Amino acid sequence: MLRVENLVKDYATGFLKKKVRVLNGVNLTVNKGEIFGFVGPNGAGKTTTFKVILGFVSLTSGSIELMGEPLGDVEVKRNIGYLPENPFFYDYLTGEELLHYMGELHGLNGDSLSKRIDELLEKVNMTHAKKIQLRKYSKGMLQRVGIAQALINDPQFLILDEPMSGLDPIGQREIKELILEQKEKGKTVLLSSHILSDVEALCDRVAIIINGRVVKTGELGRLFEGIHTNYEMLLRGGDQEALNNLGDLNVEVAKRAGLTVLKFDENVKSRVLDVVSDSGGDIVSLHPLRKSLEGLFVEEAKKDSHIET
Amino acid sequence: MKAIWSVAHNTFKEAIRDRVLYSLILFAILMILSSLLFASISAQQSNKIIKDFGLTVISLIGIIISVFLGMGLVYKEIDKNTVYNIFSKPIRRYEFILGKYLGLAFTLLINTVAMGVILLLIVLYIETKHSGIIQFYYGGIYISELIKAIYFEYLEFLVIIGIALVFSSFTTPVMTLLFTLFLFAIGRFSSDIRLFAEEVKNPVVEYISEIIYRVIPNLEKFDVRSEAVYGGDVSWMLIFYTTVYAVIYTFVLLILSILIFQNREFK
Ligand SMILES: Nc1ncnc2c1ncn2[C@@H]1O[C@H](COP(=O)(O)OP(=O)(O)O)[C@@H](O)[C@H]1O
Ligand SMILES: [Mg+2]
Repeated sequence: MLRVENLVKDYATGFLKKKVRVLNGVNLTVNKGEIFGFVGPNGAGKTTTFKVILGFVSLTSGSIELMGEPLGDVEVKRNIGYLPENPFFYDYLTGEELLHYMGELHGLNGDSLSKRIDELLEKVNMTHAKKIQLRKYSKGMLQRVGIAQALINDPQFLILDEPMSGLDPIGQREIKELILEQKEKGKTVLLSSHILSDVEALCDRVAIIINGRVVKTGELGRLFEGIHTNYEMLLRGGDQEALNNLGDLNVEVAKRAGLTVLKFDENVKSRVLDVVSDSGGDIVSLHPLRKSLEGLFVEEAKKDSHIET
Repeated sequence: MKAIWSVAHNTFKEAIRDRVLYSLILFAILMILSSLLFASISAQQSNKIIKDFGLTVISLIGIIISVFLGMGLVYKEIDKNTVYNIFSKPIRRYEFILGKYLGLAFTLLINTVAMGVILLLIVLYIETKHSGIIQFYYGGIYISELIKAIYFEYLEFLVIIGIALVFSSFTTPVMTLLFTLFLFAIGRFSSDIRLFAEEVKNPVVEYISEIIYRVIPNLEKFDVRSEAVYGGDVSWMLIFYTTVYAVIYTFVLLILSILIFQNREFK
């Protein structure tokens, strides 16, 4: 569906047109039929990558193949749906008129377009706002109508820039369902996010981008392999003296609601368990703490700075 | 190609939903109507005043609309990120530029016709009032001359929109406003500038004024107000040539806008 190789993008900024390297080797391969997550902190270069793919900005170097065609082929866009980041639309149009305009640009018209518009508004729960001007829409409503316009041509390939942003939890779940439905229909979805949990339950594969570079690509579960998992244990009672000595094993000890909370790395797990059972404490719960994306970011950023120094 | 009409249609929609446009048109119509106050003076005199005044108001308001809607024509779409929606669809950049131009040109057509019809009705009313029968020919001048003058004014709007579009394709509304007004001023006084240069008798000045004269549209060509008001011949030949002049200029301006916009980055 999409192949991006060694994409580099420089922006000239400021009065002196100083070059800033925003993308520094982005590699992505999105396969047909998958939901692909493009994840990274704010400012990592996700939106810029999308802008290059869609031809909004030129690329400095690298190569891109979109649906088997080289970049710049307008016809390819017949099969693409795109939701821009923070969608803004013509505020003097109603939701229906916006979708109508967007549909016309795809060469749709007449009854089939009207029917499609009604269907989509229903799908994103915006039927009530059909005749309301966009200037009166909330951010979440704009996001919904933005998703509807991306789907107007029933695209084979859906590119969504931060689709969950601006939505309440219910809206987010609806959008997730909608994305999964697209996959069931055999469509391909590429979505970006700066929040890992957004993509966790949704994406077949993810790429992690930091500082303009894709540092990891693969199935989400596998990305954290090789990275130690932390555990959290809740404990009732037990000899406090003994427990406090756990600090020697780099265990964090804290009190919460009458319980003792221990946080520790997996390589000291068995020793912590020994100490705890000796202390006579009662284990209330023990569970692994999933490495957060933020943790991964920090770790990768550290590696990055090692390379540079 | 259909995409051009979609863009034009939306541009037109935006314009007619803009309160500023309504205020301007309303203002123009009130101005034209207010000239009825002159009608109590001798019919022939008052009619000349009304025609002259009416044509001036139409021209002024039309130019204001052309410049003020033209200056944000492309800029606004980039600034407000709507280009991201547009160009994720299968539309070419030149189609977008043509659509924007046509949309505004159509807006001005409607407005000019509206203002023009009001002026014509007033003039017709006064000319008819005195003789008791409908008069299309009065005081040695056909009323059709008035229509020709309004048409010429519209041609000027078409060129001004083109100028604004060129600047709007790469710079901010304020800069577009300044550049467009600057070119407009030169265009309106281009023969004066040339005369001035001839007086100075300095080869450099003459050379520069010659370039200005040739490159910048000579907007004086679109002013046939005195012919329409005081009598004079606006021949079909002149209409034809002036139309061709406007079309060629507009064409060049559109090509320029397209070339600029073609490589524009939507950062
Ligand atoms: N028009 C621009 N000119 C210069 N720098 C830009 C421009 N747009 C974005 N950037 C920079 O490029 C980097 C990547 O931005 P972006 O692609 O929007 O990140 P993301 O979408 O991952 O949050 C940021 O550091 C941002 O400051
Ligand atoms: Mg972004």
